[in-house]
Amino acid sequence: MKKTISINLAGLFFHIDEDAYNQLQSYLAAVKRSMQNEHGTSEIIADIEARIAELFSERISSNQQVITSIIVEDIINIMGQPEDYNIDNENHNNTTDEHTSKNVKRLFRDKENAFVGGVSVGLGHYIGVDAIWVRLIWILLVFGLGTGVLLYLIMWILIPAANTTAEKLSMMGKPINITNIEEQVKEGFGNVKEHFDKVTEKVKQQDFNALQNKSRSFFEALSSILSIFLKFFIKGIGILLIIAGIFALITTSISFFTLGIFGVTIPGIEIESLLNTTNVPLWWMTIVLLITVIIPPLFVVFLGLRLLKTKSIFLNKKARISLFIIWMVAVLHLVVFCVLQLADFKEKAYVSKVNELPVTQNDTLFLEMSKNANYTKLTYRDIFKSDEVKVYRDHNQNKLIYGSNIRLIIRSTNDSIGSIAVEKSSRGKTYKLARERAENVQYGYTFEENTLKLDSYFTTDIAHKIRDQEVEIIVTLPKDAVLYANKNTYSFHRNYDKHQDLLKNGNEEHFLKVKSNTLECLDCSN
Amino acid sequence: MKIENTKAQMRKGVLEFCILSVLEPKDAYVAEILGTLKDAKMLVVEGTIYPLLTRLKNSGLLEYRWEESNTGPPRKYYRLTESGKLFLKELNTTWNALQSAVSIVTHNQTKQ
Repeated sequence: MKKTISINLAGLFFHIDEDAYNQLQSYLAAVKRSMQNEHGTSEIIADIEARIAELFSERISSNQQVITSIIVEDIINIMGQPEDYNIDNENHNNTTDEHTSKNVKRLFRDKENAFVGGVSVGLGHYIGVDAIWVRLIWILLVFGLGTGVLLYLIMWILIPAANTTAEKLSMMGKPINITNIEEQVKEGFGNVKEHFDKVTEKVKQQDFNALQNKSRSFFEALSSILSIFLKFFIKGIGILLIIAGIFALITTSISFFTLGIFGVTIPGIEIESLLNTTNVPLWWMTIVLLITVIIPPLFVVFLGLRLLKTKSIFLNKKARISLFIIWMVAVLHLVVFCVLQLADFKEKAYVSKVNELPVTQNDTLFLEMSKNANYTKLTYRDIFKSDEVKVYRDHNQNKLIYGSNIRLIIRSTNDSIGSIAVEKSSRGKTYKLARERAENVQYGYTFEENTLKLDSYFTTDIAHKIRDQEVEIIVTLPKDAVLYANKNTYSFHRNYDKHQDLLKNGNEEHFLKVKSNTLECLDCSN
Repeated sequence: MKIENTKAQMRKGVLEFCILSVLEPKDAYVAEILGTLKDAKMLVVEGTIYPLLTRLKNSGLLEYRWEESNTGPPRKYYRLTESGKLFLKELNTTWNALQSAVSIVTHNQTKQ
């Protein structure tokens, strides 16, 4: 079933179906265009229409018969292509064709054959290769360095889309002549119809405007002034949005570059991969993160452009939807990643080992932290960086995770002899895994000549990853023993009350006598 | 240089001359002129003739009158004006001279 349209051609009445109508319409338009330089074009067109009407009436038996596109095609064959109407200019055209066809090729985005923004197809036209190869390069770039996404977005914004027929032709490198325009027009019958709808819309609008002019009053003038203000206001917001969006784009890309996340190896990148539970490659996460942070400001810029009423040059509806979907996928990906990441921190396990410390009543215990020159120069635990971990190599060149999250606690006991408890803890997806990791924390101390030397660090093999490993040392001393803590223990026993640490910060380098619930200073000035 | 273009140019060059010649013995409307020209293979598609007719009319070589038709829209019957007749006579002499010149040239070429 087809819609028919009634037309008046040279005073004769015809029923013509919609396709045929569109075809005839664009044919006549093309003919008209080909004779632009001719005098009396309208007269010639009238003659042509009369001839077409004549040919139509030869082909139909009654007034009830509908003109189909077959008839129209037949008639176009008889009448000839639009450039056949052109007498003088053909010669001229043909010579210029050969000149222009070489340098006429321009870079445009091909929205009609676009996958995302038409950049690849456009580049393909420009270079003269199939778009699939360009797309392949994009994919390689994305997977190789991650810069592909950004580069694509930049090109998407900078390269204009081919909207007019002339632009489409110069995108393909075809000379802009009537045959090609006609071909292009034939390809886009749908577009022609759309154009007509727009025209009728415009006509309606004009009628409305005329009506409005007649009944213009003071209030209308006032409201128009208000609407102008509103327009300015909206445009201002648009400009602000564009500026904000571009600023956000620039800052995020700069921060990405300075963080060196763009697949460039940086010192400490191992830490990131040690934190990673899901075994997703780091560059992959980088891309996901990049997409997540770059798409929202892009949309902000787009919104700004929309408010400015400029033609939305770089985001059509399809592109917006696909961008949004890409963004959603990236965000989901991040969420899943975070959940998986957190899952490996779910269970916490403690492994504790208590050893006797041969310190009795009236003995003096000298307590100090010892460093290992291989790992660190410091015997210092920074409370703000207590989670800081580094990767070092031991003397066998094995990679080790080195941590300084060590807590020292001094307590008293009624027993006659002291003890030292080393409690190691770690986290994991399951309790078993967490316990395994805790057991694999290497921590050591030495006790010689009443001097307890505690390591200021712990190590664990790189295979165990960084999972909140901690070491807590509880030194328990019998009553009336004396403690002399080295200054370097200061940062390791900076504890809260809940830890019930008898050794208070500031009491280092003093002889302290152990009482039941406190330490009594023997050589303090007051 | 395409052969089609050259052919079309040759044909178009003499088309005005042919149209005027067709109209010399009797008045005719477009379809009739087209019939004669197409039978003689002077014209392949019809489109070319319309701008030519209008141009000849505008330069005063042709004039037309309307006549009703039973089958289709009203027809434009073209007729040579006095200056059209003179123009045709001139073209005729030129054509004859040209034709003999061309035949001499091409004949000599084939002989050699």
